Amino acid sequence: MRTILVVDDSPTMRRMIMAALRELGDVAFDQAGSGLEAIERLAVSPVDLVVLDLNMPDVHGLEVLRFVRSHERFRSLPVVVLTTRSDDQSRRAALDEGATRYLTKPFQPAALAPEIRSLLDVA
Amino acid sequence: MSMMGEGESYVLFELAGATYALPSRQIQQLDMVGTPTPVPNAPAFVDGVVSVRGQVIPAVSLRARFGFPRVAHDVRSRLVIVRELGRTVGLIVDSAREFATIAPESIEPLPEGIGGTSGRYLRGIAQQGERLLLIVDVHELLETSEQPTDTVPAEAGTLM
Amino acid sequence: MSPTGGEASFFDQFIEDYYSECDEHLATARRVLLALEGSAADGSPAPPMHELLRSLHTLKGLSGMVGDACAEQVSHALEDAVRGIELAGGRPAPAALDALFAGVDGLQRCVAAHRLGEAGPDVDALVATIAGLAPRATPADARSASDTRTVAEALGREESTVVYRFEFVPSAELSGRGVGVDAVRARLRAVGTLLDAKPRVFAGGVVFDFLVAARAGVQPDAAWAADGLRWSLEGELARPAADDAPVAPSADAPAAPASPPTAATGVSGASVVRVDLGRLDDVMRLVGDLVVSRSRLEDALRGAASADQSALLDVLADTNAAMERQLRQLREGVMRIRLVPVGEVFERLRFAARDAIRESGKQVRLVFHGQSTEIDKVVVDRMLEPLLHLVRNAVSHGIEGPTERVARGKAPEGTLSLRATASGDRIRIVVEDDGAGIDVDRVVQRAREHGLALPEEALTDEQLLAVLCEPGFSTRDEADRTSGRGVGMDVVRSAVRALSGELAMETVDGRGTAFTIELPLTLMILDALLVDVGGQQMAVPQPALREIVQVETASIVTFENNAVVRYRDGVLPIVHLARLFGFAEAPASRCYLLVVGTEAAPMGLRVDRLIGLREIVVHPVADRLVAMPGVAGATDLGSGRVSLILDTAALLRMAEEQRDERAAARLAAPPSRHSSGART
Repeated sequence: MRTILVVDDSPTMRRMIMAALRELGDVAFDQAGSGLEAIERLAVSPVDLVVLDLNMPDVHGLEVLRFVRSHERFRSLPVVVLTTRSDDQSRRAALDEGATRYLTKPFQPAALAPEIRSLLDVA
Repeated sequence: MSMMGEGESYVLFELAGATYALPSRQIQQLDMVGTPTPVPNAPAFVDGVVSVRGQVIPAVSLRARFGFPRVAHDVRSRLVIVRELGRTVGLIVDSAREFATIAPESIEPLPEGIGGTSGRYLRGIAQQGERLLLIVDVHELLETSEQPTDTVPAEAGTLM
Repeated sequence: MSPTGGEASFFDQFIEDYYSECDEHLATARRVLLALEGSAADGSPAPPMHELLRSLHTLKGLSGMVGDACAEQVSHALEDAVRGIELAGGRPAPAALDALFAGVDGLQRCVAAHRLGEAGPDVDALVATIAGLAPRATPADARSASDTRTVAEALGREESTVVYRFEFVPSAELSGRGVGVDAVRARLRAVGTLLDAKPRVFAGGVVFDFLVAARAGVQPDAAWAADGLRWSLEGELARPAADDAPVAPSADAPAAPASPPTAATGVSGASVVRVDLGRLDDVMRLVGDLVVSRSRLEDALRGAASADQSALLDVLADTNAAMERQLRQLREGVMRIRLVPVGEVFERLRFAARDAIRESGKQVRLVFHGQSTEIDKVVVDRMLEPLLHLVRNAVSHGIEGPTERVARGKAPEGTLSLRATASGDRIRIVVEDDGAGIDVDRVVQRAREHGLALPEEALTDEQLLAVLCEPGFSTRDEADRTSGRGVGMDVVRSAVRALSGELAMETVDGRGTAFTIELPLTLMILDALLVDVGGQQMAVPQPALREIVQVETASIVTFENNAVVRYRDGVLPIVHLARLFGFAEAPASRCYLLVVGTEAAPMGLRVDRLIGLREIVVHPVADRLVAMPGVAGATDLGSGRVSLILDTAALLRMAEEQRDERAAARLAAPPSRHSSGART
């Protein structure tokens, strides 16, 4: 049983992401609606993969990523950034901060799970 | 015209090409108009009710109230929500985006010519530069004796 | 990007969530734009843009996902424009502001069209206008879209001199109890202004640091230490001199006014209720129970893949039932918090009564019963004036002076009693005096002077009350006291009816008068059936519904202005709601009848369509401009629109009155009165 932490400030978007990832099978979900909450969830319970939105009310997603990567425990935690910004500069910035993968919204529901699956197998 | 600190603050709104003024202290807030829900048997100038801050209040078309032809609401239309003697009512105006300070002594009584429907709802007139501001009497606006009572009028539509 | 067939059905399950989130974000956008407009007018600091940006960004993302291309385009354009405006200083020119308003309005129309399954409006021109506002913003660097404030800003706005540093160490146990970082943040915001909030690595874990500028006189609660919070005094801040706040008056307009209203900001004139701690504890316990139920649910779902289906279904069904029960109890618990003892109103009345008694020179004893009976705070607030009126009336007109009383063989001191009792979900308040009773002759004479038509024979108490409640019907004394403003019995009756209540009266010549007010215990939430009446959505309280029947319109028989349909062993009289309310009638071969009333005297309310059952929050429609018979209140159904709630009791009354009137006209003889034909 793997746990995926879905981070997005829109509850509807979180539900869509979880529904799209359900086909992965043996997964459970944790949710966070803000940057601080995402960090809290990581700190208090085990997480195998994070789907991270960048646009959050308190702390920008990349700052969350930076903080998370600075922690020994989370150096190799797979983090998939899922954002609306599709330009190269943003992609570069995210990958530089340590994003494992950079996906854009809107996403095709059927295409999301395959992207994630390989990351879960490796982890 | 007015000395700083001597005047009272007013919100200015536009209606059918004229500028009106309402004391800020009687205004709870300004909002967009939305779509009022019609209330059966309400007076003709009441477009319906809207929900504001969890309270359901009447939305009054000031154009209709003043006897002007109605126009479609657009992005500039505003709902001016007034409070008076415990009542909260929304007034639909063409636009409302200015404030002004008017000293009490610069408010003059209405000239002889203005009477009739709109005259009844005005407290006075103030000059601001080139502009004439028509000061509204909120109480008169909300008060009406020709409203339907809560006995059932025979013409309230047939029930059957 | 529009979803394909398979994808479209994927998104179906989220569509209500989408609309509901859109509503929230659109409301945010409207609020910020109105605040921008207000600040542009009065020179006050412009509101921050980040909340607006986030809402637009989220709207863009969600719209893209569900395939609402029109909304996606407009929100994208708006987001870029607002970002550009923010970079340029955050104060858009009036033309730009207009374009933003038009954009939000367009966005609203796109979502509304999507909701109705219609094609979205053509937004090309709108998008072009908005795009022209600001240069396409370059992708923002990763920066904190923070809503914390600088110390200087906090001082400028709040009265705070003390800054606390809080540390919160999260844990699984605390989270399980509902104490997470978001909950802590909300708690701290209630204490004052959040200046900063940051995570910090600490001893292999994480701690959150908060800086809070506390409001004057507010202190952290010692109990918070049990929730993983520690705090220390960070320091005191000196307040800047009063004339530091810059105000730049424009050349032609007068200087900025003292405190103009900002659009939709701040707390409304607070409606505050004192809460019994025991009740709050009950509610908190229920919340705790719900959290446990939810955990059960989560565990069950985790085990979903491996568990055998029937066992899983049992657990889910049980948990669902438990949660439903707990939610209902929670709802009732919260409602109970709104209840206050009616004695509070009585005490306020006592003072007013003392004045009236003193002025009248009479001797009157005030007696209260049932002060501990509880009633919704809203009802209390609305009933104060009407009860005051009844009390004053009783003192001025009802109770006789001491000499007269003695002459009648009564004690010189009269008694005015207020009695409150509760039964089921109704509360009854009786205002009774042992005075002279209503002077019927005087009332009749006054009525004739007013031109009111009265039957030949003696009036019943109901008829008497109806006459007294005629608007504008007030005796001269009342007019004097209330300076002719018409606070008469009609106001009492409308106030009672506006609360879905009933007013009744009994009077005995020489012995006294009693007014009985019956009110529902609480108005706030009820189960309702939503229906379509002539294109308008309306709500009918479920407790009033006996049955719902679908009929062919052709089977409705109309004779002499009455409509009936075959029903059970007899006929059912019908009220055509669309006609009654003056809404458009669309001819249809079928319609629905909502059967209301009593077993002995049922009535069918004709509606066009059934929409569904819903739990609704009731808002009173109290202002006299819109308080119409037949309307018990209104409910906000979540799309910014309001739906009216029907008062079936009033509709039945209206129907009976009209029927009686027609019968009277036909027979041209005094109508026979029967007890169910209450005029009040």
